[in-house]
Amino acid sequence: MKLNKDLRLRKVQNKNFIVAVNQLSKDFHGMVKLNDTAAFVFLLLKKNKSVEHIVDSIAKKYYISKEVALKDVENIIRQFEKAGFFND
Amino acid sequence: MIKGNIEEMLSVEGVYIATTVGLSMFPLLRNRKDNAVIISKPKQLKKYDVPLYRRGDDYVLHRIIDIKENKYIIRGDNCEFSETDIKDENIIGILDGVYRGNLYISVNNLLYKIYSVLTVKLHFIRIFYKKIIRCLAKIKQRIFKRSK
Repeated sequence: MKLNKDLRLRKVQNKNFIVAVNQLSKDFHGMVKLNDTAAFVFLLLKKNKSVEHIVDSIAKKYYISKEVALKDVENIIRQFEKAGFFND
Repeated sequence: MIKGNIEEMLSVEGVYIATTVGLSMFPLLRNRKDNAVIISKPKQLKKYDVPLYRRGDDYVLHRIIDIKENKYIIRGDNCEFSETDIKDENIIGILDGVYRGNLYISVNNLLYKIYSVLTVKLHFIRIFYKKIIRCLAKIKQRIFKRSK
């Protein structure tokens, strides 16, 4: 599960957007808006961190249990898959 | 995914981030590498502003080099020719900043402002350079043809 290297996270007016550059921008138009948690997950995935590491980081950052964090991370990753963020 | 045309996205989010295509604003914007951050247009645009406007089905992001009789004279930083009949109603938004790679450059950045003025004032040098390059390419082509 690897994020497409041509995706970029842009923070504008305190909002997070994903846009495509390079080759991917030929097929991936528009932008995807992310909340802060999803943007944090995106950045960790971009750094090739494991799901376990991301869950730990989310649990620590938002003072929530690992079970809740895992559900959130799984949900976010599903949304990323739907949006076509991962390489096939 | 936020869908719709740029006008809709601007009215919903107040911002649109575009991956620019082409070299008309080079070196500020590189083909499919950099992102232009567009915001809704202000009431009055000024010289050196970079508005986004429609030309047929295409969106164009070029710089205002002059304003005459309520019409904008607009030209890409890397273009030779300008458009002279762009009116306020053609304009959709305005450049607020550029993501050049991961570096964000605001239009309020002093260096950007200096770049904007210089790129307009020294445009003739760029044109002259381009003509020389084209001339040299033609000469090279002729030499190769003869040698074949």
